[in-house]
Amino acid sequence: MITDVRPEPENPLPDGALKMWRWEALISALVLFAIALGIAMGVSALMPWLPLAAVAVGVPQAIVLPRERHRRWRWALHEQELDIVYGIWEVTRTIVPITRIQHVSVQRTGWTDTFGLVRLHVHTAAGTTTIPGLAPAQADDVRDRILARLQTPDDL
Amino acid sequence: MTSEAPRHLHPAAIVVVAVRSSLQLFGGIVLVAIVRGSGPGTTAALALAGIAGGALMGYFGWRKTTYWIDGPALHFRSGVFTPDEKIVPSARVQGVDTATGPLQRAFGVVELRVQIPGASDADEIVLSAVTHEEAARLREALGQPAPAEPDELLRLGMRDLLLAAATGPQISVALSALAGVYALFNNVIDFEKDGEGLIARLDTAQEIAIGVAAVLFAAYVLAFLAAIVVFSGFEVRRDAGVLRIRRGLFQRRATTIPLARVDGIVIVEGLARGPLGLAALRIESAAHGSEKAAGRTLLPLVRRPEAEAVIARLVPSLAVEPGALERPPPRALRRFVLVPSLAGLVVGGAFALVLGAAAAWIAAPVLALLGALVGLRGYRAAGVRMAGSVVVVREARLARRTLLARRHRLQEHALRRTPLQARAALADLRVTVGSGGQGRARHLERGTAEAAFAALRRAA
Repeated sequence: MITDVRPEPENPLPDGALKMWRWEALISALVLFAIALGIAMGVSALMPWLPLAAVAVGVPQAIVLPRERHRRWRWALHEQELDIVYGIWEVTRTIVPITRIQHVSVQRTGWTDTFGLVRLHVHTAAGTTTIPGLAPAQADDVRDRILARLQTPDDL
Repeated sequence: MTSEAPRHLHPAAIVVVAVRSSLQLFGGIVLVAIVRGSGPGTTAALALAGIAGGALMGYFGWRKTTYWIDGPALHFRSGVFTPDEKIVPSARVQGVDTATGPLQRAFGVVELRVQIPGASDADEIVLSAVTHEEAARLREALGQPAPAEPDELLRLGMRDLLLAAATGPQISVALSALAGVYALFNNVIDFEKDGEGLIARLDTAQEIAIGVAAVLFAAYVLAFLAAIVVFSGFEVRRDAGVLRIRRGLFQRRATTIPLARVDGIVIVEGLARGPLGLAALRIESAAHGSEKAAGRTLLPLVRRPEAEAVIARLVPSLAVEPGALERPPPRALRRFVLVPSLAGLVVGGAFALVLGAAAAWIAAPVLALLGALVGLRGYRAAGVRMAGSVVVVREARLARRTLLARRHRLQEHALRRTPLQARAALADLRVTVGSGGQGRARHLERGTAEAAFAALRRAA
């Protein structure tokens, strides 16, 4: 079989992204637990197993999923295209040709700042592709490299 | 180029807007009057007030609406209380479409819609009445090619129109219309009181079934009529690098799409059309991505075996040599079938649990079987093919869709696999066109998917 598929991209997301996802997962697990506890104590005493179930779901979610997600995420910006690989169960490799990119935005929020990260959104006519965490300098570099290649005639 | 003096629309715009807004006001007022049980005198007075209000809106709207060409841009100013000026550089104008309703026809004017890529329908510039000469002048000033002798011309005959309407997918539109009617009734008549009597009368399963069938039939008739209204006199022509589509019974719409902006065409074989060997052709274009289904139709009905030839005539860049698709291997079959069958089983089981009747358990195997059939259909449809500068991707969920896309205009393409697929050396291939539409071929032989992925990358 022909396999001149280029090797998969190599750049991982910074460690800050893993830290951020862990906190997000931890917070959502706590919220889940609080809701379950609230239902078990306040609404129906018949469901003592609900908080246990929340723990059973929440702990692996907080420990395993961010790690797997981070382990899988890879990206590369080539001469012609943005190449990304992501996904825990369904592993998707997506190519966005640079000529199709309409604009690039770098998003900073208080939350991402805490982890020294920004999000990079790449917009095409079909939708938005996001790299969920990059160091600011890295993101600026990616943006500038894409924009430098966008000196193409006006077209969709 | 120089700036010209602001122009007003043709005075027919007063009438068009007046009728349009008084119909809205009128309908609302009459409904309120009926619901509140006002007498006929009050109702008539309110209705007259509605008409007068509409007429005033029409007049002042016309007074305050101006447009002019200033060098390379179209300026459009409108709004009675909060005037708003839109400026569109002619280089950004995607097309100048017309929509001509009965009123505009009576005055010998057209409604002009200036299409801008990325703009929603609400953001379009609409000149509700200009003369034909003015329309031609604006079109030229905005750099749009004037209609020429067509290179290709296809018309939808009466027989095909009826066939398209009878087999159309617009059934959902009719259902939502019915929901609207139902909500209206719910407000107008006292459903608490009358409705219970109605439901009490529908006590046997047979009567309920008859009621459901009647509703479905009414929905079908509505969908049929809607399709006739939308697609009457459908005509598509190609001249000088653009596709021109005309359609509509009461309101004639003329749409222009530059061929260069057509990313792909989808051959849609719906549930009713597929078995009859019929299909519809839909345009994938970034500029028209947000349009409703009717606005993206290249042809409402085509014989399936002729579809590729028709596409080649209308959009030459999508002409493909006949050839076979690369299909998923037989070991992929169970992957197509398993998930929908399990889903059918679970839904059927849940249904039976909720209903609590022993007889309802028949739903579980029946739905599982239906799921298996859907999966089998998916397996038989799935495939991908590289045909020169065109990529062909076929898939089936309910309708069978064959996407023909220009390779170098793909917005993205992706390869996807789960660990289970990886173990079986299978992978999914997905391509995305400008309108956000996707073509997905699932469970392909891994080598096939990777070769296609690599080839697409070279094209991009």
